[in-house]
Amino acid sequence: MIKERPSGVDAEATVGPSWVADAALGIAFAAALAYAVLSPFAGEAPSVALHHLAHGAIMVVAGAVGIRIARRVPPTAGDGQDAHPGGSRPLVLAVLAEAAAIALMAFDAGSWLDRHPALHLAMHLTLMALTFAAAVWGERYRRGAGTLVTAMMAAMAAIAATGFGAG
Amino acid sequence: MATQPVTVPAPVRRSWALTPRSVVSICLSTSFVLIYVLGMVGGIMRANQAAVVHLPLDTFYSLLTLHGTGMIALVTLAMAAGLWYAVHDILDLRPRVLMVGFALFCLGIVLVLVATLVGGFAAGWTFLYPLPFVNTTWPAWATLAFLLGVLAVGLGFSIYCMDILTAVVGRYGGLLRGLGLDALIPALGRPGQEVAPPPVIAATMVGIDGAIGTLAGAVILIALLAHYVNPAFPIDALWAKNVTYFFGHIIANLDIYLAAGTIYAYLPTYAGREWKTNGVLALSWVGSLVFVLTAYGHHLYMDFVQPPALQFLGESTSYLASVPPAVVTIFGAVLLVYRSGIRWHVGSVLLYAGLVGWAVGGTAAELDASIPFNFVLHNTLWVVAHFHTYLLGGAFLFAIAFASHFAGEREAMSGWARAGLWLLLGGITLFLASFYVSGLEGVPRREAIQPAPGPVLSLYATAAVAVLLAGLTLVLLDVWHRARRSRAFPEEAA
Ligand code: HEM
Ligand SMILES: [Cu+2]
Repeated sequence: MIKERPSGVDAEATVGPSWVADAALGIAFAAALAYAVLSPFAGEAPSVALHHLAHGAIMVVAGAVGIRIARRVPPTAGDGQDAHPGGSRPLVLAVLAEAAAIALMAFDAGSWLDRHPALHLAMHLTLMALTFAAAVWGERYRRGAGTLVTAMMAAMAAIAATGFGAG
Repeated sequence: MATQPVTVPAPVRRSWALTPRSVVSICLSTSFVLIYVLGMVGGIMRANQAAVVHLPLDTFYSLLTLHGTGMIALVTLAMAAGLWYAVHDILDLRPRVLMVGFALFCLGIVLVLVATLVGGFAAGWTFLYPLPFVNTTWPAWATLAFLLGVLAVGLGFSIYCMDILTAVVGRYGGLLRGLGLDALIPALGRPGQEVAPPPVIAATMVGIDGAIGTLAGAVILIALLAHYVNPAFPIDALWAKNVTYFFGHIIANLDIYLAAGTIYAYLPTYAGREWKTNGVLALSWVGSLVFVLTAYGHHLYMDFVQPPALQFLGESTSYLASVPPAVVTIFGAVLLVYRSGIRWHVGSVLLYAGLVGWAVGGTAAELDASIPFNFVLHNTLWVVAHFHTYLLGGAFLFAIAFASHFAGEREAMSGWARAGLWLLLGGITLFLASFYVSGLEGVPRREAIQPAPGPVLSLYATAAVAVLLAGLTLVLLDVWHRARRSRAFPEEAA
């Protein structure tokens, strides 16, 4: 589930002109946002598995945006190891955000979300925000950590897709 | 030599400071004290099965739950601290993160203690759905406390794993290189960078599987908590069993893989030889990484609704799982020691004894993972025998070995320590023998009152536990004594 990336360290160098990547990410983000906002009102929910996987997809996009932004912001004193030896806060926050996203899934069962589309929408946005924050915190802890945290979010959705909330 | 950690001199005569040594010491001491107590709990359970003492039934099952959950968490804590210490210099790990993980473990263990001892929660350490909810002999809050306790331990381990993985990515520029795969595929390597040493490879494997395992644990725990709050929340029992055992199997297995990493780091210091990464070693760890994730299926052989493909995967990878450690780590360790003129001390004796426990327990596990044998051995004490062989006779011995090394082994082994080792290893052997024979005789596991010949075998086992604990007392006192001395001279330790 955790894929080897050509490592955060030289990612920029290999993607070519960074605006191409930015544009691609922007389009993906717009699509994810559209799904997040519109799908709760589209009536008939897909299968439980597909629903979890769709959540995984919008979370990955939000995480990718977080990583990309975090890598452009120079580290500050409050950041992780590199800037401030011994700081563990960004890592703890990232893992807590991951846990919060899992906890949020507890609402993802049966037809409850179908009956409350506004809450469903809020849930989508929160999932994206949590992944975005986790990725930024991860990246602030150590370079490359944002990618790992985002991969964990995707893995979480994949595990949930095996049957969370069905039965 | 890359595999030998350099001791960071701890500031002497200062009040408690957050240093690698101090955090590792507190993890080890906490876990040993509690393991000792839970060992006594184990002895009480054996005495009850021997009908020497008579516990109320619900008390027996909550002690069983406490023992299983606590032991797994505590051996994980001790070995996680050991491996952390072995790689913290190479990976530039900081003690504060380990401390956060430790705090979450403590919180979780306190919650489990309260849930079982005060609340009487008794659904077993595997908290298999729907046991925590139906026909309970305990109040609902005890279920809540237990689930939150396991969640806290999982969160602590998850932080530990993520810290290691991110450090590996930072140091080696990717997880594949953390697994040492550039020793197998040179094209993966980065110019001018050394291949990851064996302890780092083990840490990377544990980090990946631990991160995935705790994630699955969180998913099932949240589902159970949701069901707790709202009983209409649907849970498919087969799904729950799959995810629960996926999580439980990974965590219990990682104890031994955490330990393997510490063996890589410390056995060479006794044998005076180096343990180097090569392609085979790297490949074996990739194998372990995959098989630990897939072998859990052997817990579901009796579930006829489980898809056959998963049963096949479970059985085949259970077999495959034994190959990498047997061929690479255990034989590798034997070769490392052979004719090396190894220096025998508490640490090296227990490292070696632990390898024996690992090999024997692994073989007994293979037998049980073979479906024809499983028809006979399923849910008998054979199961309990095999996992105590590699957890008590393996991982736990590795943990004491590490602690002894950590405490400093300058002087020759004391007579007390020597006597303690004999009693400890002898007691463990007799204790395990009783479980094995009971299993072959078909005595079921997890029963307060056993059919014959369970009670008489339990009586032998109770005596063996007394011997084991006497030996453990001597060995731990010896380690503690040396640790106190080396605190005054930290540069002597390790
Ligand atoms: C001093 C040493 C120990 C003693 C005397 C002891 C004794 C016992 C006994 C009597 C049982 C119940 C067996 C049954 O009838 O089903 C048991 C179960 C168990 N023990 Fe131990 N044990 C010891 C060490 C350990 C260690 C070091 C670990 C793990 C790292 C461990 C993990 C477990 C687990 C997971 C169970 C299963 C609990 C369940 O069925 O829910 N034990 N032990
Ligand atoms: Cu949704």
